[in-house]
Amino acid sequence: MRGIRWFLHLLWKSLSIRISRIVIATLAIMIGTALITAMFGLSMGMMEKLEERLRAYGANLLIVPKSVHLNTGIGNLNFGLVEEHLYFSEEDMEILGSLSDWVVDYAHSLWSTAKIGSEEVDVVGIYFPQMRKMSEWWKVGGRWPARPHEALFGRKLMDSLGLRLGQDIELSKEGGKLPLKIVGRLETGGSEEDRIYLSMEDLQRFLNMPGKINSVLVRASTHGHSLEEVARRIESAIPGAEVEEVRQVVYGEEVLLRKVRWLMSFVTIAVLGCAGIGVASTMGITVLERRGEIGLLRALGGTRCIIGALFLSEALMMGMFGGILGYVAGILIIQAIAKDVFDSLIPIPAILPFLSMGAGMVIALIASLGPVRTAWGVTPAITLRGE
Amino acid sequence: MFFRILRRSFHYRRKSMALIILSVTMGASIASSLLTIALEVSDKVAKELRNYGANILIEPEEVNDYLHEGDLLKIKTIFWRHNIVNFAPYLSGVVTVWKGKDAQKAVLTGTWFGKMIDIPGQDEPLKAGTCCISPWWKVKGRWIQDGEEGVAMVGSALASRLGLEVGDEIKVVHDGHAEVFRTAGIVTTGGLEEGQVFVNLCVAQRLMNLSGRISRVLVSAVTVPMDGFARRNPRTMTPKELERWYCTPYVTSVAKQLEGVFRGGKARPIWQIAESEGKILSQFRLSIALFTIVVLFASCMAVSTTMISNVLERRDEIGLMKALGADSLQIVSLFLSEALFFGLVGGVIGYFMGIVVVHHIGLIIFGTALESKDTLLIITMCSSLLVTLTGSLVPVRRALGMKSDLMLRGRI
Repeated sequence: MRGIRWFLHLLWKSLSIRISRIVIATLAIMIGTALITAMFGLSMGMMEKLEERLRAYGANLLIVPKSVHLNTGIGNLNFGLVEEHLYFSEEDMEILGSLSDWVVDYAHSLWSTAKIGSEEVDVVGIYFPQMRKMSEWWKVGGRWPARPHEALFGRKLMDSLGLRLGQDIELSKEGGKLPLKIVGRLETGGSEEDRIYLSMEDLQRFLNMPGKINSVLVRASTHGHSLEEVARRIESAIPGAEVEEVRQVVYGEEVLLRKVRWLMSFVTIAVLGCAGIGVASTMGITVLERRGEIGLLRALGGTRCIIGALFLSEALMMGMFGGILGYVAGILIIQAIAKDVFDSLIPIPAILPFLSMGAGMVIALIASLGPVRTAWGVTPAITLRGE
Repeated sequence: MFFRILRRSFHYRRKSMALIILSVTMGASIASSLLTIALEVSDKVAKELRNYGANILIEPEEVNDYLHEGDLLKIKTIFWRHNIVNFAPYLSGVVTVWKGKDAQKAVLTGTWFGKMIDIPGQDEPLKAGTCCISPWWKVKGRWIQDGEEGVAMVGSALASRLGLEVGDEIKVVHDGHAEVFRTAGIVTTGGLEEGQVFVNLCVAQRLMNLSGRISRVLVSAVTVPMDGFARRNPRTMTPKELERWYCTPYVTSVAKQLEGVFRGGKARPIWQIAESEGKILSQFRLSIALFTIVVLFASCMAVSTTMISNVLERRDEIGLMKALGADSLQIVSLFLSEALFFGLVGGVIGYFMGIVVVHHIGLIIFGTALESKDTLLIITMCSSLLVTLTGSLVPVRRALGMKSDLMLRGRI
């Protein structure tokens, strides 16, 4: 008990009397931790932004009724719709809204065929705002449809049928007729250019299928879980649904994210190494300056154990304070940069403060190991004589 | 005398000297390897993004026309030929696919499966075709080989409708011509390919009686992000602007050049791929620049603290020198020449270590080595000298300002 009190007294005196040295060492730890914190924050922010940008590639999952294979996707050939009359009702899909951790975005569509004159064409009913968000790469000449009976026509289809922007045409199917106005010319470079996109309400009324859809494009988040998990989850939540991966999007994303993660971990290690060197040098000085003190301690009967404990607990205290200060400084750095670069603040994960504090303490401890060894090597008689 | 002190100081303090050199070396190698990465990585990531597939599609201008297979080799003669990563021709037609007594209408597509193409001026032949341009295909069974006849790959949707398994035989009928294929692989993509049958291009040409014809070409090219300038209509540009546009690998200008080599062809960017790629690349460049700044700062800090502590450790030495009558210039030049030595040795070793590190990182992450630029040696050397010299100078000057007797008694 006395021993512990004496030790604490020693620790307190050593910290309070040598305040300027302590401040310098703590500062070094703080800069190191600030760099590490900034690094972690930045790489998290970057991964998040990268994933957000990857969303620009569009849907990575496709929900269709079981055993129906619709010709959606990114391929470049259109071979007509395989008609099997299986549909979802839109209420089935409401569950997607509650899976917001998994599903970033989704877009309903209803696929069918109809005739313009004698020509059979693919028509797709969509909600324009949904689709516009999902498929950012769509280039629309003219404007997006805003009112009923307005439609987007694919570029190829317009070319082959000789249609013009602004023209009024009539879709027909099994006796029913639907007048449409071409307000937009859709250019994507893909199979979308062969189709007509009209508003969901128009098509459902035209086909006499209120509330029915037959596929949903889903942009699922791969943050923290695999895409297969998301697919299984959706399949189990929606009866009769089959979830397919859009391999083109999924594959590219997997490869890219994996490589960027590797790169980030290298950069993080580099920063950790640098911060470590900086702190170790500073800690080294503090021991060298105190050779006399250590010699006295040893001459008075201090064991290696006590000297080691004294240094390490000093290091721990400095690591903790430096870590906390470094965390604050790091966060300030990140947010200052993030505002300019990512044009938004990076959400700070709850674990980051602890991570920074831990990093500060670990660095301080490791950096003191060398100095402690030096301290153990101090020979009391010689040091006290001042040699 | 000066050199003797210098030599002695290296001789007696070998261990701490080694430590200083080690930390300067590490700082320099980290800085130089990160600079290399920052300079090279955008190109590498641009290549990685090609995993998303083709970004340019060439089709006949007229609806029921075809392109010439012979024009394909001219792709590698365009101005931006080195940016063309891969390409694949396709010939498609509607056929009836029979399995036993079941029949399904489907699309038969002939394409290349890793055809080796010699490129003038390049040692390695290019392996062109679907397998390289669409690496995301999931194949049960195996890929067809280039030129292999009597085998086909079947899309999974079609396969499930016909109840096909790998190894089953199918009969494909087009316009009275029939041919029998064994199913080599079943393809899952989540896209349109799932409803098709794939064979070698020459087989499809024979079956459809369209020798030497193709119906479209997919090209995968490394491009730069579209900026405001690129979005302008080339027709409204002045000759000088047009030249700049033509000589920048925008997806639109590469497409324009490709169009030039295909008779009766029209080349268009596949916007889903081309647009998104640009966004990701610009984001990536920004972030990497940021990381480089953070790391450079960290390595500067590491090296300068080492240098500072080196001087602080030896303050009694400085005091002794002063007491023995050395003037400030002598002391400063002594420490600076030490710092010069650390900077030079650490910088050179660090630079070469950086090359090795970066080489391996390139191999591990991207599969190809990252090459360091020679100018980087000069940059690394200069910055490591700058950091070591200033790192020493500042504390030495402070030490010089102190009273030597106090320093000698160890009071400060």
